[in-house]
Amino acid sequence: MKSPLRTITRLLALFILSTCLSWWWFSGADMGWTKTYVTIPATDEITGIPYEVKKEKFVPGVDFVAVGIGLSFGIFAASFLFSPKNPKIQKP
Amino acid sequence: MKIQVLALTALLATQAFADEIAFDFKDPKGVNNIVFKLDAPLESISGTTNGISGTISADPAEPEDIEGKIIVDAKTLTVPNPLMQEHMLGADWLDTAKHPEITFEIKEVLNSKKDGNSGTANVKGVFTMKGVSKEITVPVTVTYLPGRLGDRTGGKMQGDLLVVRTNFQINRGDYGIKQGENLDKVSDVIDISLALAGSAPKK
Repeated sequence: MKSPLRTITRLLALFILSTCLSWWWFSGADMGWTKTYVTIPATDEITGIPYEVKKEKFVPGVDFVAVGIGLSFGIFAASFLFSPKNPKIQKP
Repeated sequence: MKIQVLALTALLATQAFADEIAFDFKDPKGVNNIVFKLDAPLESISGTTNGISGTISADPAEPEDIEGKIIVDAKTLTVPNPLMQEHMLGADWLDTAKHPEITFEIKEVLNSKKDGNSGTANVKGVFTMKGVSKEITVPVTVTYLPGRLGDRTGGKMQGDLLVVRTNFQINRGDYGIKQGENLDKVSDVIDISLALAGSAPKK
């Protein structure tokens, strides 16, 4: 029987990778840096000055994806530290 | 005779400054903004600030008769990426702890052209950033909006507005910001766009 810790660690790595990629993808697959706000263009009626209204929004970028991939590969690599077999189960 | 000369001088001096209006560029609406852009390999870095103050004294009838200073609170410069912002305001880049203000002081107005309540000119002034001051000339468009402050404040204040717009470029290296460094990551040239409205309430 395989070690549950090894399986759990690998599932965690897979979860982090898939969450990170799908979050990035469904947020618009932004190819720039991660942003914590977006801007909405507006114009002042009286002066005609164009300005930007800031709206707080987390937009994951390629750095977010890189961190997610790095973290999941790190956890996957760490899974090899656990024994492939459950040490508690003794063979007869 | 002396008294008459003094009185005439005083009268002329009063006349000369009678039409000059002081416009305050601290905008309670937060519309006044400066946008700065730097090219970078992944995407161009674009940031803004609303932390603008300063006063410009102008005579709407005499476009070349402008003086004043625009002040930017350097700590209010923002970019959408928090790590990038931390680096930008940090000691290696803008060092806002030591140099909290970016300023432009008007010294001279050249080649002014007036068209109704609008005008264009080249404004020579001293631009100071990170403690380094350099004389630069920027193309400016100015629009005078007499009596429009009331429309902007919902009638709370009456007065005039002065709208100033300009686009110009500076090199960060000239102001001691990583001169000749990180050119593969961030360009040396910074594009700056200003769109500011100053108000002169009537007393």
